[in-house]
Amino acid sequence: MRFLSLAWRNTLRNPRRTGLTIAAVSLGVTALVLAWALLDGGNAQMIENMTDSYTGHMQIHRRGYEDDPSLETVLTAAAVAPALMGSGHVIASTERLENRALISTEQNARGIILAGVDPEHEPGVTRLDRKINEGRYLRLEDTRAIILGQTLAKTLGVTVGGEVAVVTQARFGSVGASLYEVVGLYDTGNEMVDNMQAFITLDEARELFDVNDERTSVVVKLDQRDAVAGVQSTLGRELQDGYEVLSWRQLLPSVAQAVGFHEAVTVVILVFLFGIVTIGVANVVLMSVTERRREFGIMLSLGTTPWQIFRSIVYEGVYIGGIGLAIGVLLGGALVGYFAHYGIHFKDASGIIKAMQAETGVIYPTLRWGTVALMGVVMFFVAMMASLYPAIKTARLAPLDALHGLTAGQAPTNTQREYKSGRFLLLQLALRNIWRQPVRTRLTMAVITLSLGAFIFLSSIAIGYYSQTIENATGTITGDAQVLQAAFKSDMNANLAFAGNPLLDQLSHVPGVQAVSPRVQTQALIGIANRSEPVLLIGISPTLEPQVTFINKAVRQGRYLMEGDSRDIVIGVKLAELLRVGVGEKVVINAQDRNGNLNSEAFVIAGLFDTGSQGHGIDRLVGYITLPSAQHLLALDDDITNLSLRFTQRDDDHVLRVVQQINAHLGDPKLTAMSWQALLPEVVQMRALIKKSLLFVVTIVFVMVAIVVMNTILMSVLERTREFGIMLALGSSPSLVVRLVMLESAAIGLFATALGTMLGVVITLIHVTSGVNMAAHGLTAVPGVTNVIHPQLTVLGVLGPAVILPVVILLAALYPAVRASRLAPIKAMHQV
Amino acid sequence: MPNHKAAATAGATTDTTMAVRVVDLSKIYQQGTIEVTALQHVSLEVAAGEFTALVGPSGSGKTTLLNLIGALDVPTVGERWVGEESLNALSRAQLARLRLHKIGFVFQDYSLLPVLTAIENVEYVLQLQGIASQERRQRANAALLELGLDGCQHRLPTQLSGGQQQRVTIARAMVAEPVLVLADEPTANLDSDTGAALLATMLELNCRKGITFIFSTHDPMVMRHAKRVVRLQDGRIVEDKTS
Repeated sequence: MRFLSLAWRNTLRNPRRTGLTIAAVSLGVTALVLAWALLDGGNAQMIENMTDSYTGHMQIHRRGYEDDPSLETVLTAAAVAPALMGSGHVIASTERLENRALISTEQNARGIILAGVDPEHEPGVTRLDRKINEGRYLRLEDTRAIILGQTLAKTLGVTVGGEVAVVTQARFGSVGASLYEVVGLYDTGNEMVDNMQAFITLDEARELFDVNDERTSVVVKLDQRDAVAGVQSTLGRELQDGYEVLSWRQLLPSVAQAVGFHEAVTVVILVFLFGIVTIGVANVVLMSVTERRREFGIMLSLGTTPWQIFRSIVYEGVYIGGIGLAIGVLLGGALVGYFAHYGIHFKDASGIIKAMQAETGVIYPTLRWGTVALMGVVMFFVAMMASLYPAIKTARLAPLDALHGLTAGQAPTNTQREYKSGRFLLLQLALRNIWRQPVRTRLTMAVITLSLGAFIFLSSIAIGYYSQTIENATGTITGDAQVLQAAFKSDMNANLAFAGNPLLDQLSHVPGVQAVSPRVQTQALIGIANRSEPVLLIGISPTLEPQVTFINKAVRQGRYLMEGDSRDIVIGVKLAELLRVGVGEKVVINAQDRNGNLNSEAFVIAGLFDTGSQGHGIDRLVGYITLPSAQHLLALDDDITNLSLRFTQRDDDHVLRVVQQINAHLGDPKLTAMSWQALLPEVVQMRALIKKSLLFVVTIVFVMVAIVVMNTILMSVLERTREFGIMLALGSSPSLVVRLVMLESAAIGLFATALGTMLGVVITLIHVTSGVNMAAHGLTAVPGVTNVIHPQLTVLGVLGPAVILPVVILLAALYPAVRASRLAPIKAMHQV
Repeated sequence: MPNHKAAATAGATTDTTMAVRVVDLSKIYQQGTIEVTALQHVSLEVAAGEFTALVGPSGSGKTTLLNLIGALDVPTVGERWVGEESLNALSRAQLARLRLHKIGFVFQDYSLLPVLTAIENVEYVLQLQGIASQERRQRANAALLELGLDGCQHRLPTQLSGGQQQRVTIARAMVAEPVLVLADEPTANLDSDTGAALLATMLELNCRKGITFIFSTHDPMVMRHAKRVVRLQDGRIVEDKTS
């Protein structure tokens, strides 16, 4: 108890120094609490929205259904009911019958997942019934009723009371088709559910899909999401091998990956924070110990044991860390409380946040007490670890040496070593001051070096990531720009085709245009006997298209299309995997033609392409046939739906300028030229989000580095107050004192910046060729996103932070420097 | 607050041979809620080339007076001149220049910069004066040799004995050739032989170069050699005796 009290008094001995360190620790903890709560809140919203709108917390399928969803892999609800009844956490369950289908109106058609649901039990598991904006939810007695997402309804040009046709592959390969009346429209905010799904009653689905009591899935809701793992393992044991019990993490891998990514970001911030805390606490304790060396000598000579001194010093570190933690948690908690109520608005990136399955562009942070407790425990150990070095150093002091003010291991005064003097006395003074506390200097330099190195690497990954995404998306889907009827971008309706041939030659002569290629695009359903998938079908000219996009170079199996191919198709490897088809095999395309008729044609797979895209990317969503085949399929004669263009440069200004020139050349007022930025808003939003994220990260890194440097220099200035007094007494001008302190900071900053830059560049160069394998990270809705990112070094990406950081460091050192220069000589000289 | 009007009047009558002049100087320190009067209405003139000892019991105001004369501290009331310069009228930067060019300090606790060697500590003031590196190296070396510190030039203060450190302090105070040296208990931490040697050095510099010395001391040997002894008690001058 005595040493606890002694440590507390010593902590209060220099209130300003202790206060500054506590402020730094509190600031870091506040930032962390807020960042953590923001990510937790975002994650929770994303998970809740996805599980509540469709997947539920868990699903039970017949084994193999998840990998190969088919009406042949089905179960009966009665078989799984006993296991569900026995689980304490299950509060509701419902049965579903799901299948791929093509939904169409006279105006348009889309490939969707059609789900037959039980209107009585479904609302206990999902909240679709509470998301109806127009009309009503399904009823048990409904016949030929369907509900759709508002986005899908808009694409199809249908409203409540309207009629839609559904075509699907029924259980034994037969075609199921029916007309339904739209009774309700919903808006969940979940892009997948709003765009690509529709719901009918279970009885209707049984009839359409030609099944009896079989179901594709039983969807389960638990009383708490965290109980998923336990229930999953219990149900897995109770149900036999013929079933698969899947948690939301398995059902929504992109969401699980996004959660993992967010947690990884938090860990990075956490490491930065604890680095700051370690240095801050170590600095204060080290300095406090150094100035009390004589006191420790007295304590030791009075019989205090080294262990007692060690404990007393560790307590000081824990006090400072503990108080900083408490204040940080309180401040952070207050901020979280405020934003939990009002939300944090991400206006510019709301599209991308929606694409990441969060409901809106507003995130409401949530604070988990488990997180705070974990942080408290880690902070306790960090503070303790930070004071270990000074504690050990002091415990090793010999009493007499300590009384004479010597450090442990320091040579006594009769050492004969001589020091060489140079011409630049001020510089020598600065450099020797830096190395007076080598441990502190190394720690500070390590923080700067590692922060900068990590940031350069991170930013090069980010630059590589969005450059590749843009390259992929424009290189396979859009080109740099397209000429089309404005409504075609959202409707993709064959009605909006136009005579494009006269424009081909005209546009290729516009300055800045490198190549032009005609296209026919439509949404279709691609399938084999027992399964089908939605696909963006693109009809291309095999000779002109390679001048605009590079899909021909991405063909990995089979061959690219040739002029004259009439029944050949090239699809992505992931789509082929889903359909379980390969080169040479037949697929059937269902698409709605210009006259509103549903046409089916068989194609042979000529080749498979692999752009490396992930999730719902190009490799899973796109198929290419020749232009005449597409024109035939959609009854377009010689008309096309769009012209795809390649420009001589892709920078934003050039694209915008050329698009304006093209628009000036177009005679038809219905036609418009749209840049890739307008065609791919998700990519633009992703780029903006990444830039903002980088700015956020760089701000945090620079602020933290500034705190570390300011702390170090301030401590260094405070412990040399007496020396500054001597210098001023001898006639040093205040400006010389400022220059000396700034010189020390500049030396530390420049050396560490050089090391950090080298570290970042070397790590990046190591990964340039091999690339960095990234998981989906929740950006699967962005076209062109690839698995392997090849980091890109840019002059701005390297020199920007390398120039700004030393400036930040010098700014951070300005306060301690000015403070030192304003000391009154005699007061400073009397400072112990 | 200093009385500037009084300063102007007193300054007009200042003798050109006067090294130091203080008029009605008082210093009150605030220690928490308590006011401590360290110096009360002290007036003193020291002519150029004088070798003056300030004596008196601890807390009598000797160090405070030296600090105020040396422009290290600011008086609560009163005026100060070093040569013809009125200190109250000078800015912080001007005071720093005055200390650099006109005053040398010898502190009781040596006050050497711990990361600089003996010769670098002596050189430091020369560098502040903008003297070229070769010349300052020669002058610093000569100053150290004069004080018997041959062989100690490249050692850090922690590698020197107390006497050696004090001699380095003297060398640093002398090397810039000030007109005034202020020394606070210069022999207090030295053994009698080293103290005597140091006193001899100070006397020799006073005689040979005409440098004015004002120093505080408790040492009877030093007092015996002082040409003028000013006794302070409770912050006031109670005796001013010239031998």
